[in-house]
Amino acid sequence: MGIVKPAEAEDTEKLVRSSSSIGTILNLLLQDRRTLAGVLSWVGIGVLVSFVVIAIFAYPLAPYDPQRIFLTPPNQPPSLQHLMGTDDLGRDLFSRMLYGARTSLEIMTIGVFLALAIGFPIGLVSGYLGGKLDRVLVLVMDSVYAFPGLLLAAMVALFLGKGVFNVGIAITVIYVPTYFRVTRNQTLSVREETYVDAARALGAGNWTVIWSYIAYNVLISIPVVFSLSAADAILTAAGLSFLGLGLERPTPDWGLDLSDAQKFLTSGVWWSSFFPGVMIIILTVGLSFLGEGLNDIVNPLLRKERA
Amino acid sequence: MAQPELGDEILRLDNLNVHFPVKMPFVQRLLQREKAVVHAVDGVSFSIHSGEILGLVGESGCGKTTVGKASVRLLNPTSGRIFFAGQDISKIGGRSLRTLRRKMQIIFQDPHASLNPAMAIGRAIGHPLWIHGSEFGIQNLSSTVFRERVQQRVLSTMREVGLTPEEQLYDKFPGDLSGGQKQRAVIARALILEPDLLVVDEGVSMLDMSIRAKVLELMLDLKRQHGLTYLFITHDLATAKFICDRLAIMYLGRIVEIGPARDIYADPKHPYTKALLQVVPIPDPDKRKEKVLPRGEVPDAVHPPAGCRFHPRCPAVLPSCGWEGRDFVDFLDEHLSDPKRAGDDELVLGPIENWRTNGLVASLEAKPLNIEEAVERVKAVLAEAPIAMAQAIESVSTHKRTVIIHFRPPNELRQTQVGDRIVECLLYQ
Repeated sequence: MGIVKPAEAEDTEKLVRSSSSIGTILNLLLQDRRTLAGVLSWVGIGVLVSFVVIAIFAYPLAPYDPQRIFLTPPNQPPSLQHLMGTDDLGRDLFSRMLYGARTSLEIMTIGVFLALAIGFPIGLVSGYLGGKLDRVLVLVMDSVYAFPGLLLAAMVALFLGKGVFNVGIAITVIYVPTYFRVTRNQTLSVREETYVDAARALGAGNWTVIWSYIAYNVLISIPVVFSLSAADAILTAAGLSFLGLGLERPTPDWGLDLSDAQKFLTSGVWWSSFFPGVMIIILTVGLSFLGEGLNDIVNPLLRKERA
Repeated sequence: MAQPELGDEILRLDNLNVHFPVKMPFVQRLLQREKAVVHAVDGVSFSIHSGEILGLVGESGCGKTTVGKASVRLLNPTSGRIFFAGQDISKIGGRSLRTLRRKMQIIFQDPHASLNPAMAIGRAIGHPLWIHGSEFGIQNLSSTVFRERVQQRVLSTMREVGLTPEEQLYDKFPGDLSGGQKQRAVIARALILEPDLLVVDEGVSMLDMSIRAKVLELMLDLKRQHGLTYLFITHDLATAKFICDRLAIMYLGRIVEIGPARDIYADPKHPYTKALLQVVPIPDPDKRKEKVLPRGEVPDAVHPPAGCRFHPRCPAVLPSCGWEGRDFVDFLDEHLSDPKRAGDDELVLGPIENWRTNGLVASLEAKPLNIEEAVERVKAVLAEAPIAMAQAIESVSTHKRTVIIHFRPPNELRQTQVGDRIVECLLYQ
């Protein structure tokens, strides 16, 4: 009796046919342009790309040096000369916002990539090898995960001191457990695949199996977490600066500017609080859109792949 | 069993047991004195000689895949020993096991699942060479030379298994290939290490009939050219007939009959083998055979039946085959679930949960005043039971208000040589 392939199986094959997981996701993004998830993802990608462009080209884009103090009275409302007005020291807010994108993205990149670089391999090893090592790692990671994120970051930041890199490290500490958990869970399911048994039967050692047969197939679940934790990282970084634990003045930073501006809110100076807040919101929401959209796109794929 | 030259022995299993613990909640585990285990493989012994194809045949869930996986040490045996080319491999691990894997390969049922979806075909087939690189003298070669040699080997192996055009398929991913091509790729990957033993676990059952025949012929060709030895695991007797020299029939973790394939097909000895062979369709409408399908389901491997494991389903069962208390309760359960036959038996003998069994004994604490009636009813039910079971009962007695059914102890079951095969059945003892 011939095995009749159900239509769905062929669908799945088409979906997983592409070589790499990143390639698969891109393919799906192109296919799903019209669905809600697709629209969300593309909006998110748009936001992220424009902020990256802003961060890279802050120098030619900004009309003034973000640290330059104008000797006009401070707290000028938005005008043609200062598109977003000036702050309490008389600095051009628009320029500070553009340079602030650079700071935010730097912190985000350091934090999230470091968390990925630590959490992903540990999750792979822990999930594949299992046993006592796995139990201990899960316990440690869950303890960290159970801690309120901002509080933990604040403690680490307090310990390390101020500065972009230190804030990045503080954020890394929060997100390592997230990457660990996602990677470990995915590893647990990939580990049971026949091709992993087949690799062991070929004589592959643990490292070869993890690296050549599991890592790539686990990587597919990472972009979702990546976007969501990046969104969260922006918020946390802003929060740390707002609390005075993040960056040193006069670094242009949204959280820091927001913190400095809030005491003038009562005297009707809304712009110096409004614009940093809007920047934080746009970038965070954009990254969340991307994360949620990717989640909807990638998860059915994961489901089908397992079926 | 015919034992040609013993030096030729490639694989020998000696009383192999593989048990899996049953997963249960923590509290239950504390309360239960005995650990519940699935007796996936329970005392299997056989040997395979060089150049031979041994078919391991049985229904789903009989443990044949477990035997296959344990033979190449993908599973650890609970007890018993595995010899590969004379070496005891049941306990080795680490590097010595990985080195040995070069010599024994396994092919799984699902070719799609056996290939890493993120690895191109050429790389997947060549990967074993990289894994065992040191044994191919990788230290003495520059990596580019080694890479080139691997590629040449991969391409020639692809040609050999009929995975052509090999240059084009080399960079394709498993998702781009058809089922037959994928299975050829899997065979190529196993073959590139030039193993001595190939375990084929349902290797063709997921392929279309037309492709299946081609892949089987490929396997036979490769056997002739490379002097391969196969352990061919299948549930499909037609496939086994096509390819196997010897057959081992497996039922619920035990081998019930093993011997030359031709003899077994011509004259099956064990009742289970007979039943299995009768299921094979004959492509001739005039030769319609009467089918004696085994009754009921394959029993639970956590508590396999006593004595011969096939006895509750066996059409040729004897009173001494291993009947015991729970066989009666199972029969009673079946009886009570048919209202036409049961009548009001349920009122006296039910509910079935009230029955207690302990080895050869089944007992029921009867409701007040109808102990005599209960005994009568039990006897009436037994009149309908399989004769062998009824005959196996020593006594139906009462003690206070308990009805007790005693079974006779079974005869000891031994593996018996019948002609040039071994059968495990009281009929031949």
